[in-house]
Formats: sequence, C-alpha cells, structure tokens
Amino acid sequence: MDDHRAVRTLYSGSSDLFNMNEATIEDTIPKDRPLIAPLAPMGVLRAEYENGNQVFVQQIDWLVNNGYKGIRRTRGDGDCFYRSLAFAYVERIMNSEDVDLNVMRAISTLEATPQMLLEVGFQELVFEDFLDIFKDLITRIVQPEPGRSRLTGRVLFDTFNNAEESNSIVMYLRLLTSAQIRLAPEDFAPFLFHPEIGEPMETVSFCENFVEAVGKEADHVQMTALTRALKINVNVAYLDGHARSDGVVTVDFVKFDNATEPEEPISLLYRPGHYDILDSKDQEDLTSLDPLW
Amino acid sequence: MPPRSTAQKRLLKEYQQLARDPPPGIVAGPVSEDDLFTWECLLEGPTDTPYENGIFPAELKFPQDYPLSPPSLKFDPPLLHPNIYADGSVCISILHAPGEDPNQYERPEERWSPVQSIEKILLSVMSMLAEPNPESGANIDACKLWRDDREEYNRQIRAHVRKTLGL
Repeated sequence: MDDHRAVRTLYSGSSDLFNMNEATIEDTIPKDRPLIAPLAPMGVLRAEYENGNQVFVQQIDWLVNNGYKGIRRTRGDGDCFYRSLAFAYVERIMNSEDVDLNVMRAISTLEATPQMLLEVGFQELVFEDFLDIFKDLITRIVQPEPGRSRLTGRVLFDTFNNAEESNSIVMYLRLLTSAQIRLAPEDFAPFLFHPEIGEPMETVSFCENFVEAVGKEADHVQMTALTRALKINVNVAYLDGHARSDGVVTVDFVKFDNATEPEEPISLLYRPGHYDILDSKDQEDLTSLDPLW
Repeated sequence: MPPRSTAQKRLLKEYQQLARDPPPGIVAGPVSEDDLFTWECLLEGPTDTPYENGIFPAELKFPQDYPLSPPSLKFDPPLLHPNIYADGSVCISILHAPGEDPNQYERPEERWSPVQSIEKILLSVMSMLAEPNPESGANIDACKLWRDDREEYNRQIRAHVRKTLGL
C-alpha cells in the first residue's frame, strides 16, 4: 500500500527533511496569521525566499510550472495540517461537479466515524458537538439551514477563521486520527516514534501526546491515518530547499492514496514544521469574498 | 432562544450526566441557568485523610471556548494543601492546557484536552486531596508543613474542617 511505503520512506531515508533550517520557517510563518488566509499567488511566497536559499526559489518556480499557482496559508500553530486538510476537503466538495453526490459521500463517511471513536473509548459527549459542526458545514453546501446562508467560498473562509468552529473541526480530525491509529496498531505501531527524541512509543501514549494534543504537528503517521479514515487522496509537496545530487531541482510529493473512488488529490505544501494548501488557481474568486454575499 | 454555543451545549450535557450519575462525594452544577460558565461544587474530603468529614465548596469557571480550553477551579474558602494556592486556586495538570506548563514537568497526557471532562477534573481533585503532589507545589508553606511536620499539617486541616462544620 502506497501510504505504508510513504511512511517507511520517511523514517528510513529522508531524515534531512527534518533537520532543515527551522529558523527560516520561524521567520516566515509568524503565529499571528489568520487561521486561514485568502488564496495568494505563489509569487508572494517566492518573494520571501528571494534573498535566501535559491533552491527554495527554484522549487517554488517548479511548482508554478507544474500547475500549482496559488497558496493558501494557514497559521503556524501546530494545527496547520488538520486545518489545511479540513478546509481543502470541504472546498473541494463545494467546487466539485457532482456536489450532491460528493456531499452525500462525505457525510456518509463522517457518519461512520463515531463508531471508531467509541470503539477506542472516547465518550460521545466529548466529540459529538465537534462532529456536528463539521457535518453541518458540509451539509450547508447543498442545504442551507434556517437563518444561515448556503455555503459559499466566503462563508467557508469565515467559518475557518472563526476560532470556535475552526478549532472544533481540527479537534474532531485529531480524535478521528487517533482512533484510526488505535484501531490498527499493527499498521502503525512500528512507526510511532517520539518526534523530538526519536524513541519508539506505545500507541496510546503516542496518540495522547502527539495526535489528540492541540498544537502538535502531524507527521506521516497522522497523515496516513487521517486520509484513511476520511477515504481521501492527499499529495504533500515537500519544499525542502535541497537540490538533487545531479543539481536538478524538483519537488518531491508524498502521496497518501486512500480514496475508494477515483478522485483528484488534495494538494498541500510542506515546509519544515508547517503545512499550507496548494491551489491551481492563484487568486480567490473575489465576488465570493465580497462581504455582501 | 439564541442558538447555544458549543461550550454551552457541552456544559449542559456534562451537567445532565453529572446530575444523573454523580460520582461519590461530588456535587456540581451551574450557579444558574443563565450562566452555564460558572459552577458551584461541593467536594467531600476523602476518607482516611485529614480532609475526612469536610465539605469543601469550590467554584469552576469555564472559558468561552470550553472544552477547547480548560476551566479553572478555586476553593472558597481556600484550603490548606500543597497543590492549592493561598487564594484557593487549584494547580493540577488536568487544569492546564497542553503547551502551558507552569512547572515544566507535566506530561501532555495528564493535561487538559477536550476528551477530559468536568467529572474527570473533580475526580482528579479528589485524588489530589488524598495524595498531594509535592513536586508541583503551589503553596510553599503547605508543602513545607506537609513534608516536615505532617502531624501539624493534619492538625491544621482538621481544625479547618471542624471550623467549616461550625463545630
């Protein structure tokens, strides 16, 4: 399975990905960004690296030349993988051709998840409100609730910038990720390492400390588990600032293929310690961002 | 009626559950229906401890983003205990969000997360009463007394208990 291979690759061959210059990232990803920013052209990101590592610049150019023209940045608060994924997940359903089918499919996947959480011992009380917020948001793509508008780009953007709703969705995805890891220990146990000291960890301890805990960044294990639980494909572009040994600059993608139906993957951009969303468009449909929607 | 916030919905559900199935020695609930964010609690002192026979009132204050952030808990009147500040505020891991660690020793799995609950907080406080954790002292005087002169520590608490019972 692809996702397993990806996990193995990670822990065997690419440790340099994790030893990169964190300072670069600290400088470029202040914590006071909006939770989710409007879509921006890649040039904005490129400008930040122009006076720094030129391999980053060339990798950004590579992405643009390969169709990734825009970036939607997220706050660097350790929840960025979950938040990016959730936003891109809902946005893709909203913009899909067969909206009704995709909403139905997403809701039916999500409705099967409480069973997983209950099975690993989470009380319904602690997660049902979070799930409702996520499900209601997706349902609103096709069915406006009384007194609330149908989901548009603007509403989606505002919802993900509302800390209560945004963090509730992030929390649900964390619990779902944890449940998936706990339910398939044989798949994940060999890959559960303490992210700072590298020691192997017990499943429950790993989940409590590095999955359920707010602000703890996701790594391959969490990404594998969550894409599996949501049955989606996600490609993560690694902007690592390293050229290949022959000097050619490309960008490696790590693919998490867990969709049960053929579908385009969600694309995320990883720089050490941070995830943003990649987009083929380089700007927002401004009418959808008009406050007078 | 305005739609309830996530915090209000969760607090109401936790209250219903605690009322239906209260843990022994614990009574807790919102001060009024209009303010779900402030709770009064009554905790019975654990048996075989100097707190035995005492009924200790405490106040839980919930933030607007509960359960994403933890509540605070304060004994009123303050209680002599190594892990309770002189003003009555309780200092235990489950009341601290991951990331904030005033004592630099807490493990994230002991801290607050939305999978915890008010019931778990109150049960942790009960076991804190029974077994102080001198590693994370909040009240230095109480810590010293507990460590160096347990008899005097016990005597002061029993005196406090008798006083609160009006004896």
